[in-house]
Amino acid sequence: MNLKNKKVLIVDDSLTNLNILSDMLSINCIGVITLKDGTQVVNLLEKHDDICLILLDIIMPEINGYEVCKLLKNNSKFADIPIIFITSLHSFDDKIKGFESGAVDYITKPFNEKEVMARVNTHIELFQNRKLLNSKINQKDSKINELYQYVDKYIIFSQTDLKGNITYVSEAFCNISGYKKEELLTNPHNMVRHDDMPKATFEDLWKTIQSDQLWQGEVKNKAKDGSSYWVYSKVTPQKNEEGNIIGYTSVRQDINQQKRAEELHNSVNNLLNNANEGFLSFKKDLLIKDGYSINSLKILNQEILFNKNISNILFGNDISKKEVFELGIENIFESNDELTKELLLSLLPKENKIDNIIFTVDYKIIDADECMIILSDVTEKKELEEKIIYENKIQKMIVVIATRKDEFLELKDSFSNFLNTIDEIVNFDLSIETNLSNVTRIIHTFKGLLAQEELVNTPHAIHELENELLNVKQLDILTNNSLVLLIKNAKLNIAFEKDLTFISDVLGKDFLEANPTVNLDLANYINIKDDLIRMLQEENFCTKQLSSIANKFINIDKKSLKHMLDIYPKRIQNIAERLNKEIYDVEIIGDSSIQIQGNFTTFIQSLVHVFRNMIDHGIEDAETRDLLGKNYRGTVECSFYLKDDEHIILIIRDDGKGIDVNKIKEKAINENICTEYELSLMSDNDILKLIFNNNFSTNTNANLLSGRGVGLFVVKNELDKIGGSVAVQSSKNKGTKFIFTLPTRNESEIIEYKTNKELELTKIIVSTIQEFIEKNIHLEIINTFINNKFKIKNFYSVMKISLTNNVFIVLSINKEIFESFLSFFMPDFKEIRINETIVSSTIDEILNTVMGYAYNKFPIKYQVYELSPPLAIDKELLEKMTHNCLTYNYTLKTSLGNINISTIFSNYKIEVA
Amino acid sequence: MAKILVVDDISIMRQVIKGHLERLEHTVVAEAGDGDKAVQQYKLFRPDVVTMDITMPAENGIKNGIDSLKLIREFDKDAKVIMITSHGEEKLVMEALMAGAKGYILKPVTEEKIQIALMKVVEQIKINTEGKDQEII
Repeated sequence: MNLKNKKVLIVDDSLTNLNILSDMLSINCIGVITLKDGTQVVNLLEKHDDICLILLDIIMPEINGYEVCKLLKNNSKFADIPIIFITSLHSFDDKIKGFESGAVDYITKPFNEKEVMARVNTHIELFQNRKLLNSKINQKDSKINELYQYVDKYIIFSQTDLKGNITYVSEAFCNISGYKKEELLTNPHNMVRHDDMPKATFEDLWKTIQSDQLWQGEVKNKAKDGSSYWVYSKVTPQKNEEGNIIGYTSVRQDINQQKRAEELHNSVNNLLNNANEGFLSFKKDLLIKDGYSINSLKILNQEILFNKNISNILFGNDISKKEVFELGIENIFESNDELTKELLLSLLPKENKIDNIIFTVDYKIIDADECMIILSDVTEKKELEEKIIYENKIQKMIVVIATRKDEFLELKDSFSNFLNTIDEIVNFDLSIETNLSNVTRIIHTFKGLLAQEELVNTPHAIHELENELLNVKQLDILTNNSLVLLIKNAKLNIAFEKDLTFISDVLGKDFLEANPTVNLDLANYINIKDDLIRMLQEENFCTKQLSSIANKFINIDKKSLKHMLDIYPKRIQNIAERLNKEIYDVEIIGDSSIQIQGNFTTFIQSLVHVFRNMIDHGIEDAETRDLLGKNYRGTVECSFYLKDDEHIILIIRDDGKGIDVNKIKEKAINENICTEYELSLMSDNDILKLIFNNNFSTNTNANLLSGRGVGLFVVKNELDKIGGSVAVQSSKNKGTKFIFTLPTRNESEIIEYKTNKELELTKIIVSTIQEFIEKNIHLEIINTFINNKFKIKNFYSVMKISLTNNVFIVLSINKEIFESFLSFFMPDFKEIRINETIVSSTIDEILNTVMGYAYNKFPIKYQVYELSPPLAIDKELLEKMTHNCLTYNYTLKTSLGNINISTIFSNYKIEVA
Repeated sequence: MAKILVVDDISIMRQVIKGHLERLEHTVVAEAGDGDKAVQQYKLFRPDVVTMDITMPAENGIKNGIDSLKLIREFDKDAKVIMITSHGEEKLVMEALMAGAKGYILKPVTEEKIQIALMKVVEQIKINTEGKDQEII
């Protein structure tokens, strides 16, 4: 221990004592400062900080040693300096008093050097050790202080009492909570509790710490301004020395940022997972990255997507989409140009259907080598769209059917009949080829007719069956048995029932169950009704009146041809659209007053095959037409006119490529329809007519619209039924023309008259005349028909049969026929000058002869009647008679002209000159 | 407005496109019916934009749409070519885009589609000419 730097202060009023002690200490190398007066001690100590011991005399004049000692001990600066009293007193009380005032030791006079030095040294050493210790302690304290300040500043730290009232908070606590220290102290700690925190958390906390354990966990707190902050909190009980819990200490870690990031992440994830869209991303390698949204799994029907190939996942079931996708993505990552990338993106497939889920795909390039995909489930939307389209179709069907009720009901009955007799459709006595051909023809006709009525399901079902039949036909494995099975498997009845259900749902059950009706023109109907009433009011109505009414009635269901054809323009445009052909709207040209029989309906309906053929095979596509220098739009025309009383001409033409006669020849030979020799004898127009043969089609592709080679055969069939005929003209690249000749009336009408005797007689007369002419005059009768109008030619004769009433028979002919008659009766007539007398006598003679034959053919009961000789009655009078009497007017058509025969059944007595 | 070269082997398509372009107040400076003529016309007229049918017959060594596009881009690396294309030709269009086509129009061609496609490249034309002007200054 180095005492040199340390000094000892000696305070004594006796100079002697001072000297003795100074000498003693100095000899022992201890520095000495002396004072004779106790009042100066503090002043001196202020100047000397190296004093490490004070030797203090007790009895001094100004201030005694006890007081000085007390003074020093009360001064914190000097309290540490040890004080040794110098005294001559020996009393125990004095010593006690000295120690009480803070002294450490006593030196009694007279001084013993050894004793003094021992005590001085000991106390100096003690002091110095204590000082050293103190400085060490001080050093430690400042470090702790530093640490404390750090803690205070940065550690969110608080202490509470047992009730949870705050007893201490760190600066950091104040900073994060936004409160000042004084605002927090003594207040309950839960003032920073956030409402979002569940109560259970705090219940758990209290339970844990009250049972003397550490509680830790994430806590969301509320700051003074109402905002929230997250801390990770560790709460421990605080104990006193006895080990009793006196409060709680909490240390918190600020996890706000981490928590915020987590919250943000969660809310984004939440958003993504709860969005209807699926989100996922993949890299250049096409492998799906982790972090896709839950909905992606749902939409793509996968359990895991990570590391799977996106291309397979999205488009695995569609090779062409998959190829486009892969090429596109490769190019996008390769390209540096933003526009190119954008354009490439727009080319990627945007929709697919997997496991009945239809989804759309949206692409976003989010990095140089990463692409994000947004999937949307549009199944419901698509289904809704499809439903709307389907419902539109149904609506269209219903509109068509409602406006064409009769046609539809007729068709419904015949198709139902077909379905009911489906077992009998295949005739096992016939070959499979024949049966197949029959079945094909029948179902094809139905398909066309049902499609015309816009049926939604049935035509499609039939088309499927047709495809099936075509397939098995090519395979050559079909038998009659398997044909029956195929037809039954097609379940046409189910499809048809479905369509009928739609119809009856909307139009009512009554609609389908109603019998087919005829639409009558109201004016016509009233006219007939009035005629009937008027006739019944008369006492003696005549057969002529009845016949007139009957005639009107028979014609009551006639329809305007134009009106019937008017359904086509829209339909043809539809067909064109479906076949990607451009055509002008078809115009139906013709007089709307021209009427046709009600039973022509099926023929008019069959014309759809002609139109379809024209559009499918005749009209070229817009580009080809352009190359040929034609208008890029094709033209189809339909016109008709009355050729004469008996005939309507209906022309349908197109400006397409025309029918290739050579192809027809080739086909005709291949199909064994004609031999080469037969073909060589035929004109081109005759060859063209071959297209109306069954199975005749030069096209190999069948579609829903045409190409089965059945259509035109159907037309021909219908045409035959109504007694019409057809001619075809065609020239290459100019077009094709179908010319139909239709009778104005139906031959079956004549049958209606059968039961009446007037007609019976007339027919006998007509047939007798016809027979006579053919046999004797050698003039061929081409056709025989009934006229509404009485017609009379220049050369005529009249005879009368007297029945209950009179029957006048009028035969009239033209000059050419008269001459051939004349040559029969007078082989050398050319030498005779023909005058009126010869004319009338010749024709009278003819009629007389014929009536002679006819009379013999009359039923025996009529033979009692009297036959008059020919009468001279002028034309006007005859015409007048026909107005009031039942009259039958027959026309026999010959190559020389017409022969007119009329029978007039008169009620009246006619005065004959 | 832009000067345009219309390339299509079918004259009616050229007429249709030309009609649309003229209604949009662009000028059709030339037409070509095959890929070879397209290159010649491009060199002659230096149009701002070319509309090019992507599927032209490439018979007898005559260039198809994409080859023609490549030759035009070789001649002028800034050439703006817009391809005219149909559904199902996505892969061809991608090839064309990678060869430098600046757009495509899906048939049927409408005025609106042309306008959208042109807007993208015509903007580029404007920006480019502005850039050039600045360089001169």
